[in-house]
Amino acid sequence: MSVDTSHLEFSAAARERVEWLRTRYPKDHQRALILPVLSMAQREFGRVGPDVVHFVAEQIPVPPMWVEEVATFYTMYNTQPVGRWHLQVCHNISCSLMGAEIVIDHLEQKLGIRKGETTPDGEFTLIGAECLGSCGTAPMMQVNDHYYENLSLKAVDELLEQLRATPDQEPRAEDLPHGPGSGPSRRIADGAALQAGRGVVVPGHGVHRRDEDRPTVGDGEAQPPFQPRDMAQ
Amino acid sequence: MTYPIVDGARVLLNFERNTESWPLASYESRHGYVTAKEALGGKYTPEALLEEVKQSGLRGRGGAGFPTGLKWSFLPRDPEGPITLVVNADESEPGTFKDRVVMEENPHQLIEGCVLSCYAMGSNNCYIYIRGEYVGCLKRMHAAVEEAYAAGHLGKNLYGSGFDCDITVHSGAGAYICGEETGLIESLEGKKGQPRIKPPFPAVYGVYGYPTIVNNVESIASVVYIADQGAGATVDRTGYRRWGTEKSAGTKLFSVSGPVKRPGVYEVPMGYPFADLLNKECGGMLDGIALKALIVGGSSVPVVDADTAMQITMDYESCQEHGTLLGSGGVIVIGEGTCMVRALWVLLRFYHHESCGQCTPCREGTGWIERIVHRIEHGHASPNDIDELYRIADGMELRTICTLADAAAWPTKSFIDVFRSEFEEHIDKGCCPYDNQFPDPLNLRGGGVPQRHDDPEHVFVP
Repeated sequence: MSVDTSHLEFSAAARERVEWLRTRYPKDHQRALILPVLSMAQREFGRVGPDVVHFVAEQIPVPPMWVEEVATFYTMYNTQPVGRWHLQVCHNISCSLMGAEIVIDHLEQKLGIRKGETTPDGEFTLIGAECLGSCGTAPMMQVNDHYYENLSLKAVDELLEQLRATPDQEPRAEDLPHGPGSGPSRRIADGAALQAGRGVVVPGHGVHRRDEDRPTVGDGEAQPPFQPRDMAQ
Repeated sequence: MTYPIVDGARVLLNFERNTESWPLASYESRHGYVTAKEALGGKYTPEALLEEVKQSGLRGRGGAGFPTGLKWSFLPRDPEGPITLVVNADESEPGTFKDRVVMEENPHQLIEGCVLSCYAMGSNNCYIYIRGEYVGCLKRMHAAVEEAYAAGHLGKNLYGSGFDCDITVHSGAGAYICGEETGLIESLEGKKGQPRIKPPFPAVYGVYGYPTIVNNVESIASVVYIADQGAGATVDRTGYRRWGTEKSAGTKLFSVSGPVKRPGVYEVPMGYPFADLLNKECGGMLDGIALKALIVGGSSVPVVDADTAMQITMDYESCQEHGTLLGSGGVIVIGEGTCMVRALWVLLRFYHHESCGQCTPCREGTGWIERIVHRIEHGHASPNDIDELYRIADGMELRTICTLADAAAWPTKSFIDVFRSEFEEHIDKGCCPYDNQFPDPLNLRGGGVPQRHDDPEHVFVP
């Protein structure tokens, strides 16, 4: 079965990255490109659907099945659509000891959704994530690519406001962490700046996403595959 | 301002805090790349450097603690394909965030370590596999590698020695199992991260079927110091063996989390007492909270109670004597008022989620034990559920391709061993005595704001 991928096209920045990646792996082992290229495709198109899988397979090129099995194995690939802002609150042991469940409860109330759901306006998807390596600065959450650490409930509220107010931007080469030129940023996690009221919010990336991909609430489609089942009481 | 570190142990965190420590210029001002230049310039033959690493007693810092030099010596003498070094930066063990600090704050030391390690093992190609969530690390490592290429610290004919070394930074996509070395190799090849059956070990059949060595970030970065100062000896405290004990040499990064005053990453000599790490370095527990339990080396190691914790010194032997493992150095401090059943459930939810599904005991077992612990936590369990849990954990152990099943079974068994009365209380009362929730040590509900622990100079918070 062939899948139409003609509506998908990489940005110039991503195309450049793909060409760079080709040079870094042996010619007869270009399969290694699947993970990084799939990550870039998700950044560009917002999620990994069957069309994106086939598109990535054509780019490398490899059989679509190889891409499909990677897309469904790794948690970072969103095979279901997610909101413009993907709120991933770490709920593993270290964060739980410091109040992660309180942060999740707060977000659920504030957004009117449960863990694993997306708000009706398609702005936010909330999930509980497993350890993100930020245990000393718990509680924390990852929003798209960025870590927000040392969260208080007030900081969470402020962050939501700032995220809502942040418009989508064209993807930039430096936002793709898959090659040289991505540039080091001073503070990788800006929870501190946020608390100090400096309002550091990073640009969203969703400009290539078509509206029909936006998740709608209540049809069950918005359930991302991260939680095998919701075990929270 | 210097960077005060316990007993001057500064193998990895050898920079001043709150400075721009990651650019090449900063690293070069700290003796950066001098060691690589000297080593390749004739200070060491590859064999001599490998021997030095062997003598240093450096043990794999990723969790298993396997001697690094010995691992390298398993490489075949006449390899059929190019030897590859893979740096394991897929740091996903809950409670562990030490490699992140090395990569974000001292990336060039990792690169220099890669060059030296490649030289010692006769490799010209290195991959650094970084977990996909670490976007900051990915960006910074890419930038550092780019800088190193531009300055001639990477590439062809390094320092005129005729030795080539290439590094490629590779990003994962969110799978704990890729921290297992053969799972990581599969993932690097662009496949599902399902571990391979060993033997053949990666040293014989690794990436693309070529001989491969997989080492942790901290191990590789430590090689720079070993090559510079020599292995030394524990008896007269010289070289790398200046720190640590005979069997656990050198320094170790510990990432401390939980309700302590100053959580963060600390570099201390092996053999440092946990009591000092907690009370001196971390400033003790948060006010009004007593120590209840300790997970010393990341979530996969057995838990110990407070009394045992205070007797532990931070080295492989002492941890084993006290019934636990040093693991990755992810120190998770658990305070009084924490429901241990709920804590175990949170861990098991993680292992259930992360099981790759290859082996039945793990795929099914992690789900079973998670559901049973969930049942106990919510008061729906029967009295024989505790023994059932233990029996399943026993059935998972040592029966799978990799150690993920063991990593789920060990905490399960130790939580029951140490805190059995709590499990029984849940079953007897038919509910959770802690009201199905964790404590709120930061008073988040009351508007509390987590303190940023920036003041003490020797604390590093990423």
